[in-house]
Amino acid sequence: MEKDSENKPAGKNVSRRDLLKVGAALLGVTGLTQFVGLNTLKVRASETIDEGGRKWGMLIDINKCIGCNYCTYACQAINNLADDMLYNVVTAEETQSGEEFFLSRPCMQCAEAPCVHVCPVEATYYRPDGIVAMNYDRCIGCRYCQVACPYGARVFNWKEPIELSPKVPDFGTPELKNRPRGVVEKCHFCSHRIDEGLENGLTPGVDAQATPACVVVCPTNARIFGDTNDPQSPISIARAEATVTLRLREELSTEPRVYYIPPNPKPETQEEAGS
Amino acid sequence: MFWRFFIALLGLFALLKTGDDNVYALQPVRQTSGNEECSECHEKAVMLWTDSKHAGVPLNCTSCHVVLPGEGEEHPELQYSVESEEKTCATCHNDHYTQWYGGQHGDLSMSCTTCHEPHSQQQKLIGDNQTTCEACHKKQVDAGHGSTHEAAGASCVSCHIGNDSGHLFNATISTCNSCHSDIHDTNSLVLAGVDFAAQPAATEEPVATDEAAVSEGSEAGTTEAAPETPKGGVNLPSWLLLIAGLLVGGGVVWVVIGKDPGIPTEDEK
Amino acid sequence: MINNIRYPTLRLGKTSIDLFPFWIGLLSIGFLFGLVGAFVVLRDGLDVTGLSNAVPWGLWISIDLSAISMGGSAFVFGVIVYILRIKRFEVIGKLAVLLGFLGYSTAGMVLLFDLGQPLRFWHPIVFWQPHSLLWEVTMCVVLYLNVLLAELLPIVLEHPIFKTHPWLTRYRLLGNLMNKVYSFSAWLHKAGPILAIAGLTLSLLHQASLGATYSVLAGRGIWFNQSAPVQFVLSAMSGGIALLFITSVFIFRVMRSGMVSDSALYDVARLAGGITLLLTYLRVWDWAVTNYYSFDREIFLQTQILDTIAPYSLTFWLGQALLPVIAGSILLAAKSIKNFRYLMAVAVIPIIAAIITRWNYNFAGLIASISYDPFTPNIVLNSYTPTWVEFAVGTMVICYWMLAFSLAARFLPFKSSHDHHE
Repeated sequence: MEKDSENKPAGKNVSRRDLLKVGAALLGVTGLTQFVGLNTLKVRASETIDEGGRKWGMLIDINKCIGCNYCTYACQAINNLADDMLYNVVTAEETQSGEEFFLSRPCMQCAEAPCVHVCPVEATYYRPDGIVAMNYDRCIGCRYCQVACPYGARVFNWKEPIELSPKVPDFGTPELKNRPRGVVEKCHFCSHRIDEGLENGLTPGVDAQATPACVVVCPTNARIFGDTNDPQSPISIARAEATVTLRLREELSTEPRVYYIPPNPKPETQEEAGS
Repeated sequence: MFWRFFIALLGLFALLKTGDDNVYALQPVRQTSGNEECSECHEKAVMLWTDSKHAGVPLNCTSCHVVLPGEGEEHPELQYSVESEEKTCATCHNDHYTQWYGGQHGDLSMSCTTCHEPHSQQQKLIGDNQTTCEACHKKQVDAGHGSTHEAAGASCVSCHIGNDSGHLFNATISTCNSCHSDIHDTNSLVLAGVDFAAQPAATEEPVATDEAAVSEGSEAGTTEAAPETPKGGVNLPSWLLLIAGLLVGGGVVWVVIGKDPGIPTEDEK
Repeated sequence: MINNIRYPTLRLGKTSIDLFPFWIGLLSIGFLFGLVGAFVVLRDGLDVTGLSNAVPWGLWISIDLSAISMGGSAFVFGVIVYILRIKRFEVIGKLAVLLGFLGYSTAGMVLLFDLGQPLRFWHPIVFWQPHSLLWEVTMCVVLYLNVLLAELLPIVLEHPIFKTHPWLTRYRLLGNLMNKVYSFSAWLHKAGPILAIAGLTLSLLHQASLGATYSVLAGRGIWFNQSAPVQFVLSAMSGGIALLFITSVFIFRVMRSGMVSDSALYDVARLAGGITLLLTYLRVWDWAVTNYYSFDREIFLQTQILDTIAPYSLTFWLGQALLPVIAGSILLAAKSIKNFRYLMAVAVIPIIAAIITRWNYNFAGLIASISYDPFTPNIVLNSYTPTWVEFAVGTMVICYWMLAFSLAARFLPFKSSHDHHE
């Protein structure tokens, strides 16, 4: 230690200059972080302001759902998915009073989607119509979105995509190109149908061709689809009629666009579906 | 020079950047007229049709799909409709149609195509009525697994459709009587191939001579044997513990009986 | 000074065998075995791993996080050497740069295999998404790897082979190129303080962000806390400096005796001990906040279920709480103990604690996840069994680390600037 301090005097000038350099570097780095911070805020603000136009949503009436899994099958056929890669899942759940009901879960298409916030390459993004879409050419397969999704709605393409889904042709024919191995896939509210339908002057939610396959196939019409910003759309009417609706894990402020009509405590509807 | 290279590199990356919202979207399926003509594009649908029972009767694509009014001359511009079941299915199968919509299924607004693939008319879900029913009536089908009826080759429709192929799906006494016409004649069950001695094992692998019973029995066996639920957590192989033990043990031995590494520097002495 | 290097040898009677070739051979075998696994995973995709949609991050991410934490000493000693200008740590600082580079390159290597689309590894650099913590981590790691390369280049060029090799005079182009490299390296050396500042900033940013990567995920309650970023920074510092202590005893006391004074080595140990104690203090409060003060039902359920999975609760109390306290206290008292055997053995504990921290953190939220059932949400217990491919690739990157370290320990001169001037 003593030796070092003896060497110091020769380098005194240098150290002052170094100090200046260090100061400049610090300023530069601080400025850079500020720039990044401001940019981030700007992007966030523009996303939340955009409220005009169509926002697609889905309403699932749990009372009508009989747990037939047809929504899952149709989804598999349309998106050409293997049996272990399900965008849509139907599970049997219980209420607090012990009544069984079926909970079908597409992607929630959250307005504040955790998956979009965490994706390092912006491979998943909000479409202007509120759908959380994927850019499969950009995804690097890091699976951070899977870890982030509170609903487990994302599936990774572990294997090579299959040639033809086992649910073809009973529940439809594939309408989309297969995604490559090693990307994360998700439900997209059949956005290709919506886009095609709008081009041809159809109304998604009303015309079958422009509506997500799971909604069309549902034998009991438990799923209702439409534009949540349009008061005349089927979903808006159904939501106005329903006394109470809920969304899954609302406490996380993900603002899902999929609404549920909770099961009525009446036992007869349950019996009817079962017998 | 460096910056030029850098900008060129950025340009390259910009070229590499691809991907619109819907590069993966294809055209939605549209329908066309005349079977041969249709099959040029809608190969799959026409193939299913030609293999079906409907292929024998004078019906073709236009029986159910008709041209819709609109702008344009021919099909790709003009779209084809999917006519309602009232106009199509009910024309011939009126009895089934009225039965269906008079029953509980129809009350839940289920339609013909809920169970039948419209082009092949086969039941959906690999054409097995048991699986088709099972999608919704899981509990009932599960309860039927391993039953004497299943072992005898009976499936859901043996009772619920019956001889008149009714679409009300109510089991009637007549369906019981078709097998149990003489309820005291147990011989009919033996004739049907039921081995009573093997009944306890029927849940595992039902003994059946009937062909249909064999196929259904094996399926029952697979669904019965529920896979063992794996224990949660991270399961590491045991050899890792061995390696860790060796390392820890070696370290402890070294600490206890080894000597200090290296040579002390002068200023420490 | 280089003449005095003592290599580890095996004495059999009168003959002494240099162990180095055997050691390198052993590591090469491990590396080649790992290459087989790497080939399999690149050919067949991630299906060959034990990962699933429920547990999408596994062994590789844990190795990646641990490797980055093992490089945690580089930024600390960058500051000590270049900014605080404490000369007696100069040589140790060079070793720290080497360790940093090895840690980060190892992490980069294993991450490449963890990607579903390894050929798209460059996407984060081109397609910016500043919201994402993973993007920030990627950018910081890439930039910091460059900083470390810039810091490492002058150290590697100290080797006389780059000055005296006959090819340098035989092929003039090569000689000219080498001269250019030397002037660039001298320029880099002068820029040391700036590199140190950049390194400090980038390191702190991404070490913290690695913790924040988990702690922003509200959907998995047990990760959703505020101390994770600080925990990650401090545990990287304690583990990284403990590793630096062990390696510098090996390189500067065993192999190049007399290069660094024992008191400087003790100071390194004391630094590691102090940070370890600080970290453990913080962790106790973190535990109290998540367990005792928290009334969040989900977190309560998750901790409860994790405590029933034996390794988690055992590794937490033993590996993350009890042993680090003992180890930190002993390391802090290094000057009184003055026994390098004990200190080295004890310095292993903060390293293992840093690895266990990352291991536990990575799996806590994945193994016990909360279902989305609206009325009776419960904890889903997932399971994960790593396959041989994952172990093979893990072995490969660890062997790469050891291989590069062994070669550097033997061949790098680690000159002090004192030698330069004389």
